[in-house]
Amino acid sequence: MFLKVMISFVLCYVVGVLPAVAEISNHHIFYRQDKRAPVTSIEIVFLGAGSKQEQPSQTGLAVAASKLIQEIAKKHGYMDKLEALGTRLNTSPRTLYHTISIYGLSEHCAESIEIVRDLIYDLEFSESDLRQIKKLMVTDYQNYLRKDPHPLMRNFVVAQTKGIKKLKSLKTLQDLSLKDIRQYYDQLLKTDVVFFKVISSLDSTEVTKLLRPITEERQRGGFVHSLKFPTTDYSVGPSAFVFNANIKSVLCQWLIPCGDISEESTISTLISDVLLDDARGLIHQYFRQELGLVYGPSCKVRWSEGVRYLYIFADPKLHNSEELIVKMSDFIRELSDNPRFWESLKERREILKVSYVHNQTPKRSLDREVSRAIYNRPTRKGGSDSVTDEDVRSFLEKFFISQNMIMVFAGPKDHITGILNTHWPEIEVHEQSTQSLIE
Amino acid sequence: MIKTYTLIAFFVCNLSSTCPAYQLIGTATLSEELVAQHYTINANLDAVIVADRTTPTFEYQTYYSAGSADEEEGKQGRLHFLEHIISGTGSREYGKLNQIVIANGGQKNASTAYHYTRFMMRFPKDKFDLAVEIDSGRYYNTVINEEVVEKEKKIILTERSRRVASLNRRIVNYFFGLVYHKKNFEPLGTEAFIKQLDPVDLQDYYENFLRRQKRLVVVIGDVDVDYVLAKLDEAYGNEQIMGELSSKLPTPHYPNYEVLGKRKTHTSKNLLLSRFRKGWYIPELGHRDYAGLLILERILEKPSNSLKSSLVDSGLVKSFSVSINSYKGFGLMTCYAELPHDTSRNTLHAMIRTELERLKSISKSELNAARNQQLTTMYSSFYNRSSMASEFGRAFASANKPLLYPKLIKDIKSIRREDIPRIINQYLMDYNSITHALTVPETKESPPRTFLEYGVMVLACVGLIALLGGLVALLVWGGKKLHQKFSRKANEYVFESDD
Repeated sequence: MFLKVMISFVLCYVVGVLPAVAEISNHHIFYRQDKRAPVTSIEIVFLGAGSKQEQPSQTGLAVAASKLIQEIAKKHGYMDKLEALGTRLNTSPRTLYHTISIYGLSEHCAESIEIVRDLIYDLEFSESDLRQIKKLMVTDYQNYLRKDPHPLMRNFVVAQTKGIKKLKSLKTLQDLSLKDIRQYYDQLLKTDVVFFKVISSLDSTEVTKLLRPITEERQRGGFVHSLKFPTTDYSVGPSAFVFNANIKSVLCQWLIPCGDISEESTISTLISDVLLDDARGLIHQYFRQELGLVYGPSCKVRWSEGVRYLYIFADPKLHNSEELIVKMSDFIRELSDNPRFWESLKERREILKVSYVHNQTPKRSLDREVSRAIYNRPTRKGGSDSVTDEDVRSFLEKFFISQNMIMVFAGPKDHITGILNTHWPEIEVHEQSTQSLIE
Repeated sequence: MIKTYTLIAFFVCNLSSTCPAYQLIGTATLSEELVAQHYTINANLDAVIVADRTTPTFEYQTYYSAGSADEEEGKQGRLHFLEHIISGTGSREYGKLNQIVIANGGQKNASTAYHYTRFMMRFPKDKFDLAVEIDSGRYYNTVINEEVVEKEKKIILTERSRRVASLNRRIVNYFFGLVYHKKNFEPLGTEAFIKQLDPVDLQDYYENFLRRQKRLVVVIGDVDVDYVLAKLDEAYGNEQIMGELSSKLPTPHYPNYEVLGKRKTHTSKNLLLSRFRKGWYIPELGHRDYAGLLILERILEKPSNSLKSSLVDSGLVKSFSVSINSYKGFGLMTCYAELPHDTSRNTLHAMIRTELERLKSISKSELNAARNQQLTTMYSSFYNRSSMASEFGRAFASANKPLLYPKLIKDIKSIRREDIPRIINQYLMDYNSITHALTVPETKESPPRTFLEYGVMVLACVGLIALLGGLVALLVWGGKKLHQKFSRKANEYVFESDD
């Protein structure tokens, strides 16, 4: 097996750039050398683990397992050993995978890997550790609510309208048992495919040698990677969610669900670039520069439990909010008929031809390659160049419509519902407390 | 003989105008692949250049060594306003610059810090001429007219209102008001001040204040160093250096003895968590003790077996962070905590003190661990050209020595155990610090009431109700009378108009 890994790795390295792979072979190493700093970053990726493996009654399980790894590393001295070498340990669950990563001085990389190997194969969870973690997670949930509730709001409204799982719940957190954690971790260790993502000042042969302790003792038969999610084809139609907050502005988000995680995303990314990739983005130009209604709007494509959506964020002051909300909602709905959008699309196509070079950093090219391999989405030959105006128009006419628009507002409740009742009396308004995001 | 040759060379250079004005004044090896070169382009402009061919792009950042803390109290906000105009418009028509930068595959941004104003650009490698053209256009010919000022004013007021809405931002402003002896420390300016700014004020401030500050250009990326120097020389080599500043920067006098060693407290209702900030005056970047202080910051901040972990894990605080920053002529090491209202701030002070006392006898292994962690963090900026440029820019703004960052890496490697207790005793003492806390007002519990007191209260309530009833009756009677009177008048008016 080791020979097989070595051969595939060396072949890829010799070729220079690793090709996108349909399936990732076990213990594959995605690697970039970067000698600008004497440091090494290694991510061990357990493909197939992650929040997708949680039942709705187990929400928070992957995060709890992740935090437990850190907690035990602290309690049993692993963290101290790593810190002594200047190495940082991080563990992080995503929807489709779970990573354990280290980042530190290249000269101490071998020792750091040994310590991580000891940690992950000798991990013992106890009830008291779990209690401690639950306490910390409750604080984390409250901090999210206080500091940046927007991602939680987005997940919540997608869950409410598309039937996906809510990602944070105090109730399911309290119900998590040690047995759940042990089962998850056992499956994680035996995950069918584990691969590595490495950026290092060291050369490839050294890196391959370094990773041997992790690969040698691994058994298989655990989680299996799959892009299939429960069907989410129902929608509750145009709706608005209002979170009451005593602030002097209105935090507004528009969510436009547009497909799922396994579908190709070239068109949605192109549209989000046209709307707000930079200061030439249409939303920036129109709502900030021309109307002066907002300072820092944003627009991104995101996923939540397999559901892909594009979201637009703006935070107008209270006295600007009605104008902004009405204009932005009309802007979204009428995008396909907006001549400025088509001009901006044309301009963006030209910009992309010259600006792509910024994405050629070792880290970004590695991220892209790994992402292609994990999501294994159908890729368009020719990328965004091959997307025609007609493709974009059909996309807009399918998704950028009233029935598919979810509005999320945080601010003075009466003020917001007043605006909604005046302009969209037919819309279904859900008044929510922010606490409901984590209940 | 040598004198004769020197004279000949001098005349040849001056007559032909081909002799470059720039001079290499220092180099620093950052890593196996990166070397920083520091040049003087003219008396008012330095450049740091790092060739890095990893990606076919380059970072171009320009620093002016004046920021919001250098502005006069009550007149803060003009630099930030100029930053918007220079970055957004430069020497072009409103909106054109963005179009040019983006159409050429570039990106741009700008920021105003306490002691510097920064303009950032990033381009594909073949656009270096354009970057210099934009930079020099901004420097020599920024357009400040009515249209630009009014448009930016609207945007700045929106930005300002967003910042003012943030409690944390207001607390930071208050704290730095203490540090800088300013009652109202408002980096973006007050609303009234921004509203009354006009193109003439701003043009004057631009010509007579900002343009007279010393500047640094940092270029990092896939560039040819000689070409960069030739272009910078072409743009700025013959610059006419303006005279003394008409409005000089206020002479810094730190620390602020009026608040040194004091613990300031403010209260606010409806506060979910109390806030605590303690800052010690420390020397500026470049001082030999700065490295030791960075090591201490690292130890206090580490995630396990540290002051931070014990405070967070025990629930005494919800969050805790330690940071070090260098300003013009001084530095600050700051602890910031968000804590439940029932956590005593004295406990927090005591725990910080205890940890610092313990660190006076730091072990060799603890020192080495912190050293390794600090090096890992510092090397990380070599992977990110924008962060690397910021390190040069900050060192230039605070100490006029852009290459201090690589020197600091050397200092970190050479710090010794015996330096630590001396550094703690010298800088991290309560009498050398400013503390500010924001918490909820104290509620005084009143003693239980007697029957007599209850009786008096009931009588008072009855009396109050009777009085209110009388008032209401009086108002109703008066209202009716007035209504009759005005109804007649209204009818008369209607009658007259119909006629």
